[in-house]
Amino acid sequence: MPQFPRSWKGEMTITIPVFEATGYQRALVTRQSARSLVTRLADAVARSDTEIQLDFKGIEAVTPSFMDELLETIDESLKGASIGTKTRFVVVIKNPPTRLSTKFSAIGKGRGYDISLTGDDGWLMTRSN
Amino acid sequence: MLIELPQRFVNASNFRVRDVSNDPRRSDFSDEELIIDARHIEFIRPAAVLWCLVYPLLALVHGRSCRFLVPENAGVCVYMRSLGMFDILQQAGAGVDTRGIGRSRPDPQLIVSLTVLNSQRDVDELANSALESLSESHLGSANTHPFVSEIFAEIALNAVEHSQSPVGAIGFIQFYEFAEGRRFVCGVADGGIGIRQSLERNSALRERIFYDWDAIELATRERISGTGSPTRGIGLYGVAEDMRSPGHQLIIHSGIGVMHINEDLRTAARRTTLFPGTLAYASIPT
Repeated sequence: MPQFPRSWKGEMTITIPVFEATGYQRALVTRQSARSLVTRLADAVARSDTEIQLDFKGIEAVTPSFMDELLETIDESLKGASIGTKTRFVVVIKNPPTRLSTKFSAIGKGRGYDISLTGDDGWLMTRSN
Repeated sequence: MLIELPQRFVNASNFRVRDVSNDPRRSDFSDEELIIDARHIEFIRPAAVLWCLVYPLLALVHGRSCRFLVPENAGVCVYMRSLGMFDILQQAGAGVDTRGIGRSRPDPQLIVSLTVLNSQRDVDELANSALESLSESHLGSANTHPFVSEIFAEIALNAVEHSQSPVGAIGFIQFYEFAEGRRFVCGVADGGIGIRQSLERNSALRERIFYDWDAIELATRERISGTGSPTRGIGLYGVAEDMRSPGHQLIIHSGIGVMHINEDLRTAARRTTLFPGTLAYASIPT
C-alpha cells in the first residue's frame, strides 16, 4: 500500500517502496525492472500531481539503464494523467543506492530533469523546462 | 586450420595479425577442422580465456568441427577448468581432452564463473546472484560490491541487447591480488556484429564511422546508440565515465579496434588484431 509521509516541501505525498515493488531485488539492472513499476507510478502520479517519492531502501545497486527507463516510465505516467511533462513535477529518490555521479546527472538531463541532493542525501529531481 | 596460442596470453592483442585474421563470423570461414593449440600456454588472463571461448564457439555454431588442445602446464589447465571454460566448449561440441585434469576445490576468488547469457533476464538474475556472492565472499571492500555488480550488469546488457551474437554473451567476475593492489575484474564477450555494425544501424551515425576504433570512441559518448532513439545510449557512456576514476580501467575490444579507458582523459582507440565480436573488460580497485 502507498504510504503518505510529508514531502520535502511539507506537503502530503506518495512514496513507492521500490524494493518491494520490484520483487525484492537488491540490484536493479534492466529496463524491464523499471517497467515493472508502471502501475505503481501511474497510480502515484494520479494521486499526486506535484510530487512522488521513490524509496530505494533495501536496494544496493542500480544501472544507468534502469534509471533511464524509470524516468521514461514516470514521463509516460505524467502524460497518462494529463499532467504532461512541462508541469513542474518533482521526483524524490530516498535512500539512493549510489552516489549522485555525473552519469546519473547526465541521464536526468537527457530526460529533462535537473538532479540535486536533498538534505538527507536523497536526490531531488525537477523538470528543467 | 591451426591456431597456436601465445605462451603468455593476456588478450587477443597478443596474436600476430595474420594468425587470427580469419574471421569465424564470416560465411567463408575455413571449412577445415579448427584446432586451437593451447599446449604451450604458461600464463593466461581472463580476457584471453574469453577469446578461447568465443572463437571456437563461432566456428562450431557455423557447423565446423573444433578441437581445443589443453595446456600442458597443469596450473593453467586447472585454472581454465575452474573458470568453467572446458565445460562450455564440450557442451557446444568441441573436442577437449580433459583426462587427468583434477577438479580443484572451488576457487574462493572466483565470484562468477564463465556463464553464457542470452537475455536481459539472464543478466538480471546473474547481477543479483553476483551481488550475493560478492557479499558472501568477504573479498575486497564491501562498498565496492554493488559497483562491481552494476558495471558487470551494464556491459552484459549491452552485449545481449545489441550484439546479435549467435553464441550469446559470456561473462565472469573474479577477485585478483595484483602486485599493484587488490582488484575485482569482470568481463563480457560476445561473438556478434561488433560495435561498428551495431551503430551503423543508425543512419545518422553511418557517415561518422569508418573503422572499428571510430565506433568504439563514439559508443562511449553520451546518447549514442544504434537504435537511433535520442533517449538511448546511456549504458556504455555511464560505464566509461565510472572507469575514468583513479585506478580504474576499462578495455573495449571490438573487431579490429581497441580502446583502453582510465583516468587519463586523452585515451584514444586504435587498431589491433581481430576479436570476432566485442569484449569489454573492467578492472576495479578495492
